[in-house]
Amino acid sequence: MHKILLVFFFSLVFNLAFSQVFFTRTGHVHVKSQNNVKNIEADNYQVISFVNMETGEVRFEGLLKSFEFKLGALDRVFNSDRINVNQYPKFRFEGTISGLDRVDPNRIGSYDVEVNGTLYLWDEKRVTSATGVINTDGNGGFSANSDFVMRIEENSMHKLNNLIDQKLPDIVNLSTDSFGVDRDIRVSLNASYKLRNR
Amino acid sequence: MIMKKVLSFILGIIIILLLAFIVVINLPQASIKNKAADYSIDANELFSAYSVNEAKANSTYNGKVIEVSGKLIDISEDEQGAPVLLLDSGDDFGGILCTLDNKPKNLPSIGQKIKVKGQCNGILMDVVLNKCHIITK
Repeated sequence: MHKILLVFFFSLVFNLAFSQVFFTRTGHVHVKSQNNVKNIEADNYQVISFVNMETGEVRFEGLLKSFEFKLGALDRVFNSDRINVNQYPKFRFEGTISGLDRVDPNRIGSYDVEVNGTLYLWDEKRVTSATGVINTDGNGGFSANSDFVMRIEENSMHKLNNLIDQKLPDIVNLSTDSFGVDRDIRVSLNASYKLRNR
Repeated sequence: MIMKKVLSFILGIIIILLLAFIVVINLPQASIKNKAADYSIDANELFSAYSVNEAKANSTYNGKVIEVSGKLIDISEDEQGAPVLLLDSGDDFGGILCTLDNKPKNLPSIGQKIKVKGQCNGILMDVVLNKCHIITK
């Protein structure tokens, strides 16, 4: 996968010799699922992302193990050896941003954009579209923010809830009917980009 | 009298379960600060392990606490303001990315050789470590 990422990066660079590829190693993804007892929320601050300003291509990629759950008990279980995500250790989003031709990172501004693409998570892929905002800092960089709701397949919801059922300490003694994840997962993305120089 | 004892017992059990529930729900997030490292390894060696065989490296290092030694080549902050250190791996495009658990009073300088302990999560462009602490600088 590391090699695929490098090939993707080089194809972006070489196929569009004069295009500008912006990059971050520290993008942020926040996910939230509501239930009757306590919302399940998690943050991942180690998401890498590329944006090609000329073609509008965008890519996010992150590691499942980098998610930190707000609920300490879940966080401890998720970050222990008991949860093995090695079969599908990553999620990624590949898509395009419409309206990037209006964006000038060398001038301060705010731009509404639309993002369309495919999210790959576990063995699923999901076509996703969302609106977002790009804020340019006037110094050659910009930040991007987007919020959207992702509806996961029912069997994926059961897979997640079974995992919570099996791994949470028995003493919590809660049914995932009231304490599980919902099919609708709220996702927030934000990332600050600079021109790629390493 | 017996009924009173039974009710007291049930009430006691309910209170214990409620307290246990509150404790579990309010547990702080996982920290690796006091955990012993599963592996101690050089940055070049760790990056090379992932580059050569990612699946094998995943099964060896993912989720494990590891100590990594290497030359500091970049310092930045993530979206929550946590310091992010990048260690040289000998590769032109990827390094060892270490997000610190808390902000130390003095961060090491670029070019310094340091040792960091953190939880290894896998590889993106860099090998990614989270919840890190600086061991030596």
